[in-house]
Amino acid sequence: MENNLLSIKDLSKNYGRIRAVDKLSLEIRRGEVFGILGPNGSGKTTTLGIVLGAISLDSGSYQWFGEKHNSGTIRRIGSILEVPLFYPFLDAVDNLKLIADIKRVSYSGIDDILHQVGLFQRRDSAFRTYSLGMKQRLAVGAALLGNPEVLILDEPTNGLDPQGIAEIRNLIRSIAKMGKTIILASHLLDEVQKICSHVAVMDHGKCLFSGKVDNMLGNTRMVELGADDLTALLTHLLSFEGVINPVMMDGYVKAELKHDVTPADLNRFLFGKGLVLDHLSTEKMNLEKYFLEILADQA
Amino acid sequence: MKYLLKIEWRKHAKNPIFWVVLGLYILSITVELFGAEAFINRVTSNASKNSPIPIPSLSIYVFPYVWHSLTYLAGFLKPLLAFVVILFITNEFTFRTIRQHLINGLSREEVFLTKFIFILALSIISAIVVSICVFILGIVHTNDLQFEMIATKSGFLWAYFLEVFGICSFALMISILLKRSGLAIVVFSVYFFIVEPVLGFKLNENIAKYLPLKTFGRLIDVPNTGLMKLFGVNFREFIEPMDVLLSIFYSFIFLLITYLVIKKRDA
Repeated sequence: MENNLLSIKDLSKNYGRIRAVDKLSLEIRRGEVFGILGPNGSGKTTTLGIVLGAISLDSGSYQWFGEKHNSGTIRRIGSILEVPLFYPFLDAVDNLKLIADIKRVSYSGIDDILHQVGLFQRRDSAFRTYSLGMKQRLAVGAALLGNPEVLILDEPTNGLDPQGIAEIRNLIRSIAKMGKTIILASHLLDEVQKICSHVAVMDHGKCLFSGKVDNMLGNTRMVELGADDLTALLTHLLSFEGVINPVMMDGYVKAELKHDVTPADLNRFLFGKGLVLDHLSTEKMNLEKYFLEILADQA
Repeated sequence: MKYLLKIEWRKHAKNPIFWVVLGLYILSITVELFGAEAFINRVTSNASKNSPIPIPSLSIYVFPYVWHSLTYLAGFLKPLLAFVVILFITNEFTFRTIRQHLINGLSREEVFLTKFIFILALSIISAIVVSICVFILGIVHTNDLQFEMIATKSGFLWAYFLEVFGICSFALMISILLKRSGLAIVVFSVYFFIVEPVLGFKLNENIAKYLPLKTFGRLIDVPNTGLMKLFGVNFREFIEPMDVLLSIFYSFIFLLITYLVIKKRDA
C-alpha cells in the first residue's frame, strides 16, 4: 500500500512581489496527525489552498495518494480552510446534504455526524443563527462527511472562546483516535503540541523543520549546571557522551540531555570526575522554545 | 448534469430570498403583459381624439400576433432577470462557498456548469411564464381560434429565450468578474442604460448595431400596432437569422470568458 499520502515538491507561489510559499517540500504519511505550525502569514493556508485546488501554484508539484490533482482525489479529503463557509440561510442538515451531493456520498452519515459535533439539537436552525463555536463544529462535521481518509483543518480554533477551543480539540483528538490522518495548520504552538504526532514549522513560505513532535519535545531536555569551576565543568561535559552542545552561559553551563541519559547519570559522571555541582536543573523543552529557536536561527 | 442540477437546486430551493426575488420578477412580467393592452388603448384613444382619421383598434393579444407583442414587451424586463442572476451568482463569492465547493471536490468545470445551469433555468422559467401569458391572453382574445394560428409565430418565443439567455450570460460574466453584487449591478446598469445607448448614438449605425446588448434587443422588433400602422411605420415581423447567429455568438463569448475566469482564478 502506498504509504505517502501527500507529497509536496518545491512548491512556490507569489502574490505580486510577496513570496507566499517558497520552494516548499513536505511528505505526509498515512496515520499521522501532522501539524503545520507557523505565525500568521507564514504560508500555511496558501499551501493548503494549493494542494486542495482552490489556489493556483506558480511552480513545483504535489500529489495526493500518489496521483496528480483531480477532483476525485479531492473528494477523498475532508477540509476546512480558515473559516467555516456555508450558506447562511440553509440549516445544518441542508448545508451538509449539499456537501454530500458534491462529494457524491449518501446522506446516511449526516445524523451521526451532527451527534458527533454536538449540533443534532440545532440541526434545523439556519447556519447564520449559530455561534462561532457551532459554526466551527459544523465545519469539522462537514469535513467528516463521507468518512474521508484525510482531514485538513486550518486554524480550527481560531476566534473561539476557551470552552469552544477545548471542544474542538477534544473532537479532533477523538477523530485522530479513529485512525484518520489529520493535517492541522495552526499558529498556536500549544495546539500542535497537544494534538499532533508530527510537525512542520513554516515561516515566510519555507519549511524550517519537519519531524516528530516527540523527538522535538519529550526526549530533549535542557539542563543548567553550576559549579565553582565552570571552565572545568565545561571541559568535562564536552567529554561526556550523554550531553549535546554544552555552552558556557553567564554564571552557569547549559546543555541538552540525550534521550537515554538521566540527570542522575550526569551528576554521577561529574562526581566521578571530582566535580561537585552546586546547581542542577532540568527543563523539558517545549515546542514554543523550539519554535522560537528555529525562527531565531533563521533571522 | 443531473447531479449538478441537484446541487444548484438545493442552494436555492430553501432560500426565501430567491423565491421572493423570482416571484417579484414573475409578477412584474404578468402585470406588464396583462396590463399592456389597457395602457395602449388609453394612449390610442387619447391620440384618436386629436386625430382626423380614426385609429384602427387592434388587439395585441390576438393569435398569432400575441407571440410577437408579448415577447417584445416582456423583453423590457430583462434587466430585472439580470439582477436576479447577479444577486445569486455573487452570493457564492460573498459567502465564499465557491472556495468550499472547490475544496470539497467540485471541479472548476463543474462550478462553471452549475452557473450555466442556473442561467439556463432562469431563462427557461422566464420563457415559460411569457408563454403561459401568451396562451391565456391569446385564447381569451382570439375569436375562431385554430391551431395554425397558435403555431405560426411561436418562433418569437425562441427569440425571446435567446434574448434573455444572452442578457443572463452577460450578467453572469459581470458577476464572475466583479464578485460583488452592488458593484456588479452598478456596472451592469451603467453599461445597459448608459454606455450602449450613448455608443449607439455616437457610433456609425452600421457598427453600433453590432453592440452585444443591442443585438439581443434587436431579435424581436417593435410589433406593429394600430397606432404604428396609422403613421405608416412598418416594423419587421420576422426574426433575422443574422441576429440569431450574433446573439448565440455573443452568449458564447460571455460564457467562454466566465469559464476561463473560473478556470484560472484563485478562489
